[in-house]
Amino acid sequence: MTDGPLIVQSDKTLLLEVDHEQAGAARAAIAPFAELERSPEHVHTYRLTPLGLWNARAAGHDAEQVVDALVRFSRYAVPHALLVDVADTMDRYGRLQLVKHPTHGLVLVSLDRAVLEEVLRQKKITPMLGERIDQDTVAVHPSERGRLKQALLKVGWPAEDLAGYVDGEAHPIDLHADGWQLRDYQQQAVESFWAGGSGVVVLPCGAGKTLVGAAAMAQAKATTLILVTNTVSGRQWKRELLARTSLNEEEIGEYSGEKKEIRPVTIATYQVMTTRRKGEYRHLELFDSRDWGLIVYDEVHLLPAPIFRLTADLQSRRRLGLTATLVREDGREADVFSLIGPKRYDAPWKDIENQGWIAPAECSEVRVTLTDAERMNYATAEPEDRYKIAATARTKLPVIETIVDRHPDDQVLVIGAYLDQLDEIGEHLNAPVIQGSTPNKERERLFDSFRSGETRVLVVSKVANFSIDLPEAAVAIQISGTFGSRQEEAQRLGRVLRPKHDKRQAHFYTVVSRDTLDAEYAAHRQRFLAEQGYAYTIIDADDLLRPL
Amino acid sequence: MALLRRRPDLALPAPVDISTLANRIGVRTSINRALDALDAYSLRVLEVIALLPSPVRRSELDGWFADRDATGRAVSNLRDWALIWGADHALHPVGAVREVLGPFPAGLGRTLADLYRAVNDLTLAPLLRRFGLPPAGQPAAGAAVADYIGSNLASLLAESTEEERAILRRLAAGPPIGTAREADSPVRGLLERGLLVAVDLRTVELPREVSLALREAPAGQVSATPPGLGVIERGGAAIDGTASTAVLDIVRLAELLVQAIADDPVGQLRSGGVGVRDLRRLAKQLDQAEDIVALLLEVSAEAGLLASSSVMDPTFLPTTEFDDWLAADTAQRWVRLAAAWLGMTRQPSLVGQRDDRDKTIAALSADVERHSAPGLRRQLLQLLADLPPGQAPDSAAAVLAQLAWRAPRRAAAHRSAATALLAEAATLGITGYGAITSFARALLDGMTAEAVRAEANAADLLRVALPAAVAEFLLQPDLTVVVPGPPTPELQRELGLTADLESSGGASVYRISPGSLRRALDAGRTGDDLLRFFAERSRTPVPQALEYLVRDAATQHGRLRVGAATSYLRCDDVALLDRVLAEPALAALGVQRIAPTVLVTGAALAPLLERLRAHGYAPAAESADGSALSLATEQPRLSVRPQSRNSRVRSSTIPEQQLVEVVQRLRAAEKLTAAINHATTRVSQDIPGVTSASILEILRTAVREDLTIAIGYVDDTGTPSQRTLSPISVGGGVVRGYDPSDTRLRSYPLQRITTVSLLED
Repeated sequence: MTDGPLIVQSDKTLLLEVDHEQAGAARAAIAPFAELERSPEHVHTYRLTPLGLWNARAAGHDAEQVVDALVRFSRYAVPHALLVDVADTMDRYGRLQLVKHPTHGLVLVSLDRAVLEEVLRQKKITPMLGERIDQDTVAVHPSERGRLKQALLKVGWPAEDLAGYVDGEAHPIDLHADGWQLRDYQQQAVESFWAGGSGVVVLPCGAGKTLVGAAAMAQAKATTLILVTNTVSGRQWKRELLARTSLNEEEIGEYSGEKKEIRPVTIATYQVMTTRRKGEYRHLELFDSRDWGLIVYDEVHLLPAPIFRLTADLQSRRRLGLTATLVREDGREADVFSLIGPKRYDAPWKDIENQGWIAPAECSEVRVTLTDAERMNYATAEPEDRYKIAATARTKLPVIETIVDRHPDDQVLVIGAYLDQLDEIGEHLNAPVIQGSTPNKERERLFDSFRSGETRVLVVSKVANFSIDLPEAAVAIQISGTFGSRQEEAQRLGRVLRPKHDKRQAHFYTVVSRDTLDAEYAAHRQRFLAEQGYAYTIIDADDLLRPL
Repeated sequence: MALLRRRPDLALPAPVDISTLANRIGVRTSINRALDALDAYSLRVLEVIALLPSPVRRSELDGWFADRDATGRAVSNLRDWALIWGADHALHPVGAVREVLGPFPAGLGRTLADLYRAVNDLTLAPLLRRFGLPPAGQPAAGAAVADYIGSNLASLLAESTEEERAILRRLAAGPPIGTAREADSPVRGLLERGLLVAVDLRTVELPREVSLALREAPAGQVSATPPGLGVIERGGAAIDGTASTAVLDIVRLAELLVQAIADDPVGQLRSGGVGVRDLRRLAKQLDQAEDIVALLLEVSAEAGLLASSSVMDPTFLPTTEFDDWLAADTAQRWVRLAAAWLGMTRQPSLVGQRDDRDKTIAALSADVERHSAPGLRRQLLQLLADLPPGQAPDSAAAVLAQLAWRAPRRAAAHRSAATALLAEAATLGITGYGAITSFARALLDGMTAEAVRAEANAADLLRVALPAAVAEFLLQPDLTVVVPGPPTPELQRELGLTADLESSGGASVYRISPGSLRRALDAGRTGDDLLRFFAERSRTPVPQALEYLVRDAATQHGRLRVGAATSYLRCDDVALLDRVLAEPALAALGVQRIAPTVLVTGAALAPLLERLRAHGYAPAAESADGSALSLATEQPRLSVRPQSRNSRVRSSTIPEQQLVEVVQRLRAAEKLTAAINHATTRVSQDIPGVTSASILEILRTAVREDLTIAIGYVDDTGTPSQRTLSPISVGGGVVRGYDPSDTRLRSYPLQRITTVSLLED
């Protein structure tokens, strides 16, 4: 029994005591194979999952290293069954390989005949395979490469994809490094992505994911298709690429509801890709319109189901996924693993914040007590209306105003979900409102005016949840949200995390109505951030209104 | 004494004299059991003795076995087991040994002479022709062919092709019979040369002489010593350490399981046991595989933590012993579970498999019963315990190979059970890295000697192996609590109340939620109690969010007040109520004020009204909806149920004749009960309508050994009674036999029998 920092639980979670002197070494040892689940202040929780172990195996770690790391840093004896299970699980990866055969094209090769026999007996897998070339080799229809990997993962025999990638149409892209350079973690992220071929890079909002994408493009030096969540964020990508790379205006195309340009680097929105007319996806030809060398998926955790299906057909192209969180509310993490690729890079938010790359943020929850009339209204409302009533209580107005007044020198974003509430606040604060129906041109204008400092307070609906770069926003006030979505909370916090020119602290306020569903949902959303190490301070609205 | 210890079944029921004992020694079942415990070498020696015509001289065996000393040891071993008798110059197998060993002892077939004597003329003719013998009929032809083959064996064998040789080698290793397909040309070739004999259309047998000519050792490949067991030096501390994680898990899971059953009792199937659906639900609740849950169920039931209620709709519920068990520390709890497992006659690995009728075997049902289980378990563990402490066998397969030498018959019959037993031992923390732990070793020693002391020893050893208990925790801003080690029972109780367990093992992770705090408040803790508890026990500062959460929960808690009262008094005039409250004569009614205009009392409506009226008030009674209620006509009445018809019948007189019969029956029953109480073997039927293996076994024993039994029987009107019977046969769902009192032939359907006891005359 040693006095290590790690406690191995029989349910395959690992608890790492952060303040322990060996914590750093232990973290480095387990990071390759264990997935960080929570990182609150004192004890971080990692989990051993088949996906994680296979990720490690894909990166060249073997079971012995894993077992050694667990035993070396563990405080108590490690359950024998768990060690055996780790070895067994890791042993399953790579028994099957997808390789390019000189004459037969794409083939599935087994290093263990029994596994191949087992897999061949699976009803779902058989149709994807062609003729059997010899005892250990089976031809694979090239179009089934992605679906086969998905299916094999499901039966627990993930295949190692060694079939390589097409280079795609070459196109010169270079990073324009004047007065800036890639940060260490960005460099590492790009390197591990490139070494792995395809995969996902997980970085917090504001940590410069766009740059990782740009660097990957510079590495590939090929035509690139970038898929983003919406037009505004697409334009942002374009701006960033123009500023940071050798690409010029003519080389970057926008493929959205408004414009349909196909250029060496094309930025398309998920929405336009999944638009159907008469039951058919109209814009699929985009994928085939050029010989793309790289496909970048922004905000992978939001990737809609049809895109997964399309991606299954694109397995011979390099794919880079970018996201702040692999948490998917729909639980399709395994599809991300098999279709886009394993996680290639990941860094805890707090680490990046400590390095000064994202602004330190102070999170507060402001609790508002509803008036008696509002409480009565809430208590007697239909269950489906209750959240709205609690979230849009008028009592929040003076509180929001007070918070805005408390930060006279900062740029403030007020974020909400209900349009009439937003309008009301806009009027109250005399601030412009951006919502779904605001035309793109108007949005751009307002965002520009906010960026330049002309507009100090901006009221936005959930259109601003994603990928809008407002570097100078230092205060965000969240007044209502989409029920309990955890990744929404993370995204909204991300709005204020861009480092400020004067290293100022960012503030993130959530205004909730006490003792209502609003507070319950807020608690659920905050869990994610608390697990990322952000402590919440709770402030009573009355204390705010009556300054000390 | 030594014999009875080796073959305890001989002592049950206690033999009245030596001749009874001698008889029993030769009985088939008893020999079967004795053979199960025999090692491979002794078994083979016994087989050879049985093979040779009796009496066998000790020196004859030397022609069969190379190692004289080992053979000598085996012979004296067999004598100790009372499987052979006679001095060295005249050894005889006992009673039914030959019968039990089967037709092919030592894997050898019948002799050429025996085999060819039974073959018909038609088959013999081509052989006679081939060997150039004069045509003849049976029995001369058979003898001639056997003779010829016997003397020309070497040359006949030399003619064999490689394919034929492979078949011969396989049959020579035993068993000597094989199935022949028509197109099998190598078999046909062998038949044509007389090396194989067709015993029927499909089966061929290798004659004994051919086997012996092919074998390197006449008695076949059998080692005089057990195969080596490869070991890995793990160190006692490491073995105990890894097993202690299993111990913590299994104790926690057993608690969770029984608690889950307490919260949502599990109904018993009509055929006994826990249904598949319930098993799945429990497995899901515990997040464990179904086989683990089945093991837990069986062990908890065996340890007396769980039992089936015996009402009309039987359900499984925790017992009062469960509460005692909860109060004990981890080590004691584990000892209780492990001891139960060691001794139980159940084989949990059967759960979920299919029985002969292709029905799924349910946990806690009679089908899981296996009387062979404790013996097999003990032998396997003893095998592990024979290794020096700190050494672990290098694989489970090696352990099974050992078992195959030590008890070949048992190993062959229970191969899958033995594999499952090793897995169960690891799950239960009996073994770590496949080696027996120091605490399990202590427990095993207690199986033969003193159980109580052994259990205490085991608990002490386990306490050393378990990580030290921790009485503090770390509070995290995401409202989780991490206890960095096994919590003390007190801390566990307190945290179990205030937070929900999320993950456990070496450490425990709890999550605090409004729901969990409410539970603590319900249990009588105040918000300040909780905050003090967190502040005192946490190694890290209490996060502000938690403080808020506790305060919120505390304010919310108890805002609605609930109490019990029988009657109320209400009045809009507060002063009038003041007067009532001040009335000394009403004090006895325990009137209390719960709001300015409401008083409550535990007294019933009628006395309250009466008392108030007596003191000059004018109260009006009202019903729950406020309408006036008139109580004036209500007179006191007793509530009595109408007399049942039975009780009226009972009160009438009984004819004299019937009385005499009753008394006679009573006396007979009395005698019978005394005899039953005397009986040493008594088995009851737990599940009505299903005949368990143990009941059948007793019935069969009684038939075989001509014993009298008492049976508890329920007739077709559902009336239970006791009957005596000397059974003569069991079969077709009924037991037939004579009633010793009137020697009339009777038969009883098995499914109506509830208990069976062996009577001693």
